[in-house]
Amino acid sequence: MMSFYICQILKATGRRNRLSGSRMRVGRIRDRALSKRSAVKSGRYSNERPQEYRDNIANLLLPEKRTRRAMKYELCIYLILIMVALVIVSVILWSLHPVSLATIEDAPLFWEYFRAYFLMAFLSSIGVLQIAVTRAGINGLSIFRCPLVNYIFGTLAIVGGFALFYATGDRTAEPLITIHEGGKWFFGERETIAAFVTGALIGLVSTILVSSLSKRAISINHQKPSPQGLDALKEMTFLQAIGRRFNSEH
Amino acid sequence: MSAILYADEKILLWLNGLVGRVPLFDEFMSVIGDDSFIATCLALSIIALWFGARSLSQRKRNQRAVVATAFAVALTCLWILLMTDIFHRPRPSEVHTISLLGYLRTDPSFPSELAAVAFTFATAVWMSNRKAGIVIGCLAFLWCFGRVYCGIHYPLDIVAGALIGVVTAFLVSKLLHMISGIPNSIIRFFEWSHLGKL
Repeated sequence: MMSFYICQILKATGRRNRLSGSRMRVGRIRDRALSKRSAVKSGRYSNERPQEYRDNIANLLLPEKRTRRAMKYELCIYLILIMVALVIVSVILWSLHPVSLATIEDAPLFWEYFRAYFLMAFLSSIGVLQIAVTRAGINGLSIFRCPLVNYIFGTLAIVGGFALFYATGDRTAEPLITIHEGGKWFFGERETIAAFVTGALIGLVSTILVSSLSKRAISINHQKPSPQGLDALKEMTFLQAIGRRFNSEH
Repeated sequence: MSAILYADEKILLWLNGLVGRVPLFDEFMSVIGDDSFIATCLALSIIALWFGARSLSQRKRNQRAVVATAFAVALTCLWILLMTDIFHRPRPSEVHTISLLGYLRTDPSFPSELAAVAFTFATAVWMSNRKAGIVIGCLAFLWCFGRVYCGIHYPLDIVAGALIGVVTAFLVSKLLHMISGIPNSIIRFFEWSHLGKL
């Protein structure tokens, strides 16, 4: 009889110990089961994590646990950016493909001029971006860690882009591209704007991808609230900023 | 009016008469006066303005300047399109025997669209950032000088285009300053995507 009661007491003690040790876990499970609104109304929900949890996170320097939805969003963003990267690489390879001199009179020169201008816009926009973000201290968009290397790389990219454009043809001559059924097709203002915008956009996306990869080891202080806009990119890369937004929203 | 046109032609012929004296300078001016070099520099300066400010207040002013520039350039191009339908002044190379550097343009000469766009850039940026505005203004002046030197435009075309650009940029900047919701909403979109700051 005594042993039965002792067993019961021990069992109860053990259960209580488990409960006290896992009171936080049970509490979090309960809070998650309820909807946030009803939990807030009922006063059982608290935005603040228990102190012990915050200390563990700070001490272990582990990233915060992510919800499945936030991870799915991040995965989608990575997949989209990888597809964009593949498009960029294919566009660059296409633009570097040399036009055969033997067929230059027959082939439409439009794409040759477009490629040349697109390359200039692509390289020079990357160069300008690197110089600008290094000057502004936006480390999340700079490719290299050393500011001097960024400045040198940016300058070389700008000069290289212009040199590539003006050295590969007489660009001051009439941009008559092709004579099509008796008409003339010029590489005019609209075509120039389209080539520049395409090159600059692809340059921006390339910069985001390369800087996010080269600086992925930046450690983020998860205790501080995430800054908004471009200021967020002073402490983290673009992909980290997007991922952190989804973490905070979900 | 005829006196102004006479003086206009005289200045063009005098400036274009310097072509051929220093071949290297002619090469340089043919690149400067071309359609793409300075235009690309102006567009790249917009990218530098958007991202390159050190302080938050300067970045906000720069980004507002970029938005104002975009609207002003669109409006300027529309004005020029309308005015070239009204004024049909032929190009200098069609009327005079000049040393043309570059290719023969066949569209109307008055007013100069590229001068209008260049000074639109310069004025819209100057309204928010004096230093950058002065630099872009120097580029615009160099471009316009190159156009006259190469025999592509009359000086009066450049002056008219510059006036149109300056007035349009000034009015658009003031208007957007009063209706700040439009640039704010554009910059807020970029702030959401972590590429801007309101």
